Amino acid sequence: MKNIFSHSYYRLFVKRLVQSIVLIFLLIVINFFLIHLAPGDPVYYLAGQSGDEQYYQLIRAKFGLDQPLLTQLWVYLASVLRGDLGFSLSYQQPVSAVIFARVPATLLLILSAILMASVGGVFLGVEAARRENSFYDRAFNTFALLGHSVPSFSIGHLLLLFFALYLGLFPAQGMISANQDLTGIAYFLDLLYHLALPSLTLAIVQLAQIMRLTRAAMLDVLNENFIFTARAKGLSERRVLYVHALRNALLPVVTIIGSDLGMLLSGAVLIETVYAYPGLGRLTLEVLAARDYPVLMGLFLLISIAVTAMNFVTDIVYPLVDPRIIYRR
Amino acid sequence: MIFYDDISIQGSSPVGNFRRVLKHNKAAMLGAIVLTVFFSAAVFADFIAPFDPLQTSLETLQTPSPKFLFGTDDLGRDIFSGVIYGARTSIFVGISVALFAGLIGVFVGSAAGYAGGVWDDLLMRLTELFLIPPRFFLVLIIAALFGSSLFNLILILTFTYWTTTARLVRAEVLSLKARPFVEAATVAGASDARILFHEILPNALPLIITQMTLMVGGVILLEAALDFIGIGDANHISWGFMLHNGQHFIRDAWWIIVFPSLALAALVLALNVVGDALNVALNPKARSAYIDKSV
Repeated sequence: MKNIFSHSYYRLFVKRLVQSIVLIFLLIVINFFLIHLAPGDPVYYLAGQSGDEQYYQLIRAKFGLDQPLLTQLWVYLASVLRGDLGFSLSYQQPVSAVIFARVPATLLLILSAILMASVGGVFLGVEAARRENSFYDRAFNTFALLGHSVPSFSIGHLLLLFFALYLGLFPAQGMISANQDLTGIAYFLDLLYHLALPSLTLAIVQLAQIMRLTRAAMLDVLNENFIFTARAKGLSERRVLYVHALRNALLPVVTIIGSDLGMLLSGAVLIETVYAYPGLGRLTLEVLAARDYPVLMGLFLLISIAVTAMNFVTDIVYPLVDPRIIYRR
Repeated sequence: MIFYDDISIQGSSPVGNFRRVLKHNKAAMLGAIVLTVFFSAAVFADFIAPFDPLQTSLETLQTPSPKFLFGTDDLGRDIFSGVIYGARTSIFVGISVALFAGLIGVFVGSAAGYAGGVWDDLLMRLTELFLIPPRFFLVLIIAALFGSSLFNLILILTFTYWTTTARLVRAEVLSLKARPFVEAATVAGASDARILFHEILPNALPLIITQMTLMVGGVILLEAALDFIGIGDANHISWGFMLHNGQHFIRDAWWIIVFPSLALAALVLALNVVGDALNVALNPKARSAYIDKSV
């Protein structure tokens, strides 16, 4: 961990930080231009479609819509940077409040899915690499191919039909049971019970990818000299695979897990729609139906910023895990 | 290379290679057959489909039967006809976008890779910016703001997909530019256009073809996801649109959900397998390639 304080790491850190800030700035500018390029009066996209003339006048004045475009851009940037993403008419709340109220549910879904996908994906990937070209390997590969082909909402529908509606093992929708006022352990178990299917669906999509990457990385590492050394020392095969080989094979896998936030969020939107799970995905669907553009633009901006931030974290953590990366550049 | 580790593919003719891969690989052969079936369904939909897929009738929520092979939905529309016409929409959008985005990508990518300098930098920064917002959200927001007719959707999808090809072609052109045969052509006095179009691009073609095949699958998935979430052209029947309507009736009518889902999965699976086989035949040294699945 010595290289945390090294000069080259410091430079990388600053460079990435500046790049991320510039990107976020550009994303806000893109948002602004989308609002102005879209057909119709920009006030609809800044205020939503269900307002009255008086409200529109207010918004026009606020964003300076009669001013030159550059002034408007400045006003828009300033208000976004202040954390003001506008007001949602359909929820009668500030946009940021509407969005952040839904974040915990989606976060729970995404984190539990990542946990299942990475543990399961790494384990299955190692086992597939260990038995390269065997029946198991082919079965795993077929599963990976399916995971790369079947869309998340179809997986969700099929699991829903089979496990919830046919077998009746899991609830078909929602995040907690309605009208039951559960507390403590009972509430927590109810939450997990409702989380199981949506989380499993999201995990399956990710699992295929993590498994395939782990398998490829393991096959590369298993030909290295230090693996021969480890085997020659008489270590057990499990120790060679899971301690010596996996430690080195895990690096590319870690980046994928870190950089897949965008795909996880897209998957979450679709899966939440399938299971009527009240997170950001449901919100997207609701605001699309209500034409509540301020929330939609806010969602787009916050998701892009979250992805930028996650890329930044992955970029600066990676050299800490794998010091070689800094010196290759 | 998923199914091919035990066969060695040698030979200089790409078409011959592809045939050999198909012959040795049952999965790829099956994939090619499935693709042919879907393509035929798309082309001859008017002759195959027994009903108009948008025509409502009084026979609502019928279970699958000889008359309605895949049953009917809540408005009495025939699911089998919907699946047949849905193939047309999916394949039409997939191929159009792959073609347009592929062409733009090849043009911009090879120009940037060959010219280098400021243009190259500009292109790379631009494509990096495109990679930040998740593709699904980017398409969703533009379609929500600008309208989502089929024509618009194709434009928007092209707009978000060309960067992938551009980056790939740029990298390939850069690596080919450094090869001895390009140097030889330069020394022989060939013009830039001749080097690019006669020396470099023909050698980049296998990569471009594989990439465009896989793009068709990615676009089909994304278009279905948009329709599923309620953004799409309601004038054209599509699998995603059928799923969007059917999810409210999932408790009573599983067939509205299951058949379009299976069709979508089978088509994309076939594209993946055939794309991978193409990749093995055309770029023998490359790793297995799969659809860039954004949903």
